Amino acid sequence: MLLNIIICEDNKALRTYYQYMIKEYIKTHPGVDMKIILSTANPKEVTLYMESHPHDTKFFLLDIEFPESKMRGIDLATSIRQQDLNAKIVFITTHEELTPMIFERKVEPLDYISKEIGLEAIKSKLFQDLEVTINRLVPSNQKNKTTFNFRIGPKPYEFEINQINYFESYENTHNVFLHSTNEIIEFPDTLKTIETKLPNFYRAHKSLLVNPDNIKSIDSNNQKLVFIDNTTCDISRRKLAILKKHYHIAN
Amino acid sequence: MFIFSILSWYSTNLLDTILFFIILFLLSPQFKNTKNIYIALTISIIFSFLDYYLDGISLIASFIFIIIIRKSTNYSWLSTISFFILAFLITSITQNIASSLLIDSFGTRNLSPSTLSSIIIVVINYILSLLLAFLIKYFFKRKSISSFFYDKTVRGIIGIAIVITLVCYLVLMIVFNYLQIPLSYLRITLIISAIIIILIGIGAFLFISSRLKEIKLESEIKNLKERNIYIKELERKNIELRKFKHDYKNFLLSLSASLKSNDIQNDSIRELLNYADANVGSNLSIENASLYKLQDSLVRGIIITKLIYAKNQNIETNFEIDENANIPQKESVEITRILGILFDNAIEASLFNDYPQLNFAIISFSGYIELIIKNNIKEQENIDINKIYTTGYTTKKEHSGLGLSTVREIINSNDNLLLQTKFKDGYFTTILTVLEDK
Repeated sequence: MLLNIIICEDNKALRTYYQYMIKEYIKTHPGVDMKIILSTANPKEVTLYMESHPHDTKFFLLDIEFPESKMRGIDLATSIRQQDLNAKIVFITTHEELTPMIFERKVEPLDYISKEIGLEAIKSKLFQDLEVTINRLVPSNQKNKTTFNFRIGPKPYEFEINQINYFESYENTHNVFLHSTNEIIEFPDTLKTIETKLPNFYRAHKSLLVNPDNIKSIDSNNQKLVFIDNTTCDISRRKLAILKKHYHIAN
Repeated sequence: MFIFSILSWYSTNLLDTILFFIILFLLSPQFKNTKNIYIALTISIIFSFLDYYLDGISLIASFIFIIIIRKSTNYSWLSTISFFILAFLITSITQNIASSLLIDSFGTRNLSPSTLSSIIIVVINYILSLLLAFLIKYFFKRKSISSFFYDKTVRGIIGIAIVITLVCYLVLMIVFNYLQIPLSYLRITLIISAIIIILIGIGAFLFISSRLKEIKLESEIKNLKERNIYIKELERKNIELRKFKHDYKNFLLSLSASLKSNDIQNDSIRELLNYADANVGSNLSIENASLYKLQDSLVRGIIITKLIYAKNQNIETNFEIDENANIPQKESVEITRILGILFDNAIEASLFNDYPQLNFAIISFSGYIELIIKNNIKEQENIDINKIYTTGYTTKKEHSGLGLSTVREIINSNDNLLLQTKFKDGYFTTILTVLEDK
């Protein structure tokens, strides 16, 4: 699989230096199929390339601020991410432009490299990122985990089904809470529609949809469901009895 | 015939009681859930019947109801009782208006307690009550008023005004009943109660407007304080910049000196590079400049307050505000309340670490914004994430654990606000998503 490398940096000296570094990496790793397909100061060229080559495997090295262009690096990266979920993006930027949380939520970049760390350190970080990219290239397609998909506003989310402990809803709201080991996510949906999407799940009562695979035990004394990860969920005594009958889980 | 008249009396009474609950649920949707509706129906059916034998028993019934349903909400006693009295006043006054209208059009003499007249009274009563309730609801829904509802004094004034109105109204009714004034004077009672309501309304309005002025003044002072902090930050950066410029010139001078003296070792170049590495970049931008650009003054205020508080506690902070982030005005009060609680929790939790960290970001997407609060937590701390939003659950000693359950309540009452909680790699992250209206 050919890895296409795209560089967008408005400083010419730095851009040449990045090119030189990457060429050095290619030379020292002859077994890997990769090349610099685009190196530019103009973010527009990057978007043009994105449009004409939607199926390429891509690695981006992006600056954040382009004084010459109206487009900001973060907007460029956001649009890249929207078009290509698998693109690897590395930001290379000065410290004051670095807003890691915004980058993380919008772009999920592979890495950020701060320009202040010096050319040698930039080189070693860049090499690491290329290494990671190459290692991730192969197995990504073979992963076949079953996921539960939902949306918050326009943003799609994926969650592994076996990580979900239960869904919970509240009266008078149109939202549902997904509970997993270390995450609670609220999203607009109803338990009824989720129930049809996940037929394996058990509707313990009106406001609770449980993943039976993740139940470890039923604690009748404290009226609790205990999950494999030892988190718990309160449940009424009557519902507990029904659930027990349903699943015959030894206490 | 007797049974028929009882039946007609009972059904009108029942319909009136039901109307009372309809108005109540309309005024405060928080009361409205399936359980409460069933309770209301049961109480209406039983007590309307008992009312025939024991006059005034419905008063006891409503007290029982208040006690039962207050549990399911986060209202204070005053607000709960206020809602009750308001619903009572609306239904009772409209009932009187309906009767007086009927008397006006038919005259007292011709008026026998027939089924037809009761039906007309009930219909007029329903129409007027619902109209009034919708009017009040519409009035309170307007942005400028509802945002002040979170102020305790304003709520107190409104509550007391409603209670006084009720007392006056009841006294008037009792006096009329006691003196056995004929029905034809009902209109006069209505006029007197209207005057009382208007007077009390004006009084309450004056009190509230003076309180609002106070609130405005407070927020202006707060804005001024924020601006001062910003100016101080600018001054500090300016001094730093001047110092840097000074150092830089010195280095350039020594550089040119060493060039002239043909010093091949170029120590000064290395020195300059080292200095630049250490100083350029890290401290020379105005910290969180975009924070001061945030349009919503309520949200900006809470962020700046908590940022300063965190800095004073020596917490390492990183605040990022997306440039085009725009807080929807409709949700601004709710977001401010939620942020206040989440920041307090995050700061408190981070302080258990040797190196406390607090990160915050507002990120804009098309169609929604995200507000993210992230703090580090003490290692090996075992939190059952399913429990943190339960009332009274807390990992901290001597702490009520009320905060997050309040957040949950606000979130549940607004479908545009969504919450994500994550607990991973020693960090606790809360993401508040605010959807824009479609």
